[in-house]
Amino acid sequence: MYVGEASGPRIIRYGVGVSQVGDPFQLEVRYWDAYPFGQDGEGVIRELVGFIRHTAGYNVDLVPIVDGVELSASRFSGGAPGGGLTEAIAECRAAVFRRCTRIGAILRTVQVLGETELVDVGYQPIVLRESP
Amino acid sequence: MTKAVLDGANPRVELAGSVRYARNAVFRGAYKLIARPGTQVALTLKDDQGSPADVTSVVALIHFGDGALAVAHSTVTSKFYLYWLTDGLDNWYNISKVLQNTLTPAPIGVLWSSIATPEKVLIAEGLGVAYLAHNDASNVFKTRKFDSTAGPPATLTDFQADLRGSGLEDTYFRGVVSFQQHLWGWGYGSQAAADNDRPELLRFGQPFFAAMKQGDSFAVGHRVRSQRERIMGAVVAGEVLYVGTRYSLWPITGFGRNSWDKSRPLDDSYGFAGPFAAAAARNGWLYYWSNRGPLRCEGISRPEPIFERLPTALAGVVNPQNVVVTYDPDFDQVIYLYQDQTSGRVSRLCAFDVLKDAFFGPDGDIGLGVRCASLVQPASLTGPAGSPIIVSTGVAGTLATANFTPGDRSAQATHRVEYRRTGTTPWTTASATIPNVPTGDIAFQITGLLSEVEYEWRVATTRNGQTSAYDGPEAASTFTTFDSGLAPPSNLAAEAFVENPSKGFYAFRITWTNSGEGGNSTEIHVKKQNPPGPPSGTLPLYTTVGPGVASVEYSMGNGIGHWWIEIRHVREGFLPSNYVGGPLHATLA
Repeated sequence: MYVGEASGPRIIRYGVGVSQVGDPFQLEVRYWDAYPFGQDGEGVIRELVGFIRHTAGYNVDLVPIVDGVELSASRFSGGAPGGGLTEAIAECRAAVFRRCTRIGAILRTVQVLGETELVDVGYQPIVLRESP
Repeated sequence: MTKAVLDGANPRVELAGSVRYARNAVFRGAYKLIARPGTQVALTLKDDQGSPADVTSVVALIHFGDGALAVAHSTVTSKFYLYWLTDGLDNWYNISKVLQNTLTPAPIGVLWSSIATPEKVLIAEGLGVAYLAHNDASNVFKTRKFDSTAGPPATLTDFQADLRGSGLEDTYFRGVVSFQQHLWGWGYGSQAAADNDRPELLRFGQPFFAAMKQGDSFAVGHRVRSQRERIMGAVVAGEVLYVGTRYSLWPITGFGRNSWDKSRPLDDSYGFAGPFAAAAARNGWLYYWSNRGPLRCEGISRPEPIFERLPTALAGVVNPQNVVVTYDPDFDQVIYLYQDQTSGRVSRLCAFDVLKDAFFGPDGDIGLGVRCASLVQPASLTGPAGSPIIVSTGVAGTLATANFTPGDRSAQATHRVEYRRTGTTPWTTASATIPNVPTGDIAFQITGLLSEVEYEWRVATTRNGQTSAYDGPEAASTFTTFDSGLAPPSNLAAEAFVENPSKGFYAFRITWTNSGEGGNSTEIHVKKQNPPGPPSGTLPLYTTVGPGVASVEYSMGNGIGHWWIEIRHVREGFLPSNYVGGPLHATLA
């Protein structure tokens, strides 16, 4: 597919490589909030864990969202898979340690280095009070 | 919308199981959500000045014959130009269809002059002829006709028709389309004053793009000559020619001019927001952007609104008449582009995955403003012109640079580099999609190699699904990596502190001194275990922090006991450093 530039002379080919003419782009995924302790329960989320499959390294931010409030992003980066591997799954742990009812997350790349896939995001809960 | 994959090997709880939004993503198989691909410059269009300068806007692009046509505008010369391109958009023709072998096409003709601002241009193709309509027609911008079958050279003339029984006259259509081997045009008609603005009138010609005549027309809408029912665009999807006014949608069906029927509107509320606001997708579906947002339609069934799925995007749309919709079969996505509200630039608004039946978006900026978009597929399935030729190999630690000369310079060609340890059988694919270059050699970096090991590599070219013979392995593609281990960090220390007094939660503040080598990240490994501690290299990874960071906090909850910590530096293309810490023993009593 091709696009024509609105304020310039270029015809741009879309669907090639991982970089972009002009501004770079980032993969960003936000999850719906989870209620691990029930709709009115309470507990502590120890950490979020994001799993990223990559072929040429990764550079991502993981942002916990606790009861609707975005916390500071934790940044994770690493190089290309070693040891003859062509891909690897990186485990990115962001400490949360907040008391809450619901937990969500945003995972976004800081730089796309190669094929980058979101495999999973999970969390570690400690129950204080459960509700139905 | 989509579901993330739960890694069965990890015992944690999956987060909610659904994604609220995904930006710049494509699906690849079940639950595989991957960053979308990027972009590259294909061609840079020039104007017709003595020393050609860049044009200022690309307003139309369409496949044509065995190549493509583009239209551009220059605010410097106030002209619209026509360009004749190859199907790979990696070369261009002059008016005599002679390849020019540069990436900076010159125009083959001037379509309209003395026009200070760009405007949308619609193009229809039939029997080797292109019909070009200026979307702001009035009685100034004549419909033009580019005949590639004439000559050489090909000809560019005014398109004339007998639309009022007074013989051949110039025409002034706002848009044109090909449907069932007939040319269709709408908006303005002939040069007669009374016939100038016919917003609802859709005219069609004789079979096989023969002449247009006075009586061959449809009037869509109910009011006749109402601006509310002006035809915005027409798109062929499946067996239907969909004609969109601003607030209604009319299907034209049938098999030939004697059976065409347009009597039943499909929708009287939502039409096409603009001339480029609709596109045909797979299986004959029409996807279009209305004044309310995106809808879709199949056959003569009622349109299905899909705008309720992306309220965030709808809130950010300005100038919906400039929305560009196109379908990309390579990624099974309908792509909507719109002018960003904040920056004024055009962004990729969102993509609708027709296989997953889900929106991805709203997306971020696609990097530049877009006025038109088109799918231009190869007219033929030509294979690679030849095999690439290995030139040399550069070795740097656990990286190697494969240098080779392409055997095919076309933009459709990509290259595949494979490597293996010398003396072993299976090949590992380093990359199967290395982009081509128009001149010079390609230097591709192979990463992830072991140190002090002999490897060999080979290379092949792929074009249109066909692969050339491999070149290599040979002496120039055989190499031995060398040891490039990183220097380790130092001064590892861990200090416990109370993180949350009311809960009795504790944490470690882990600090160290970086080795000083630029670009190193640091892995922190932590494990709780009674003495004796775990052997070095067996502690689970807690986190990896980027270059320059020299401390991290590790929450332990009420984890009283013995903790073991060790760290090391890592960096792409280099062996990790040795672990530091031994592991370090830290207690919390």
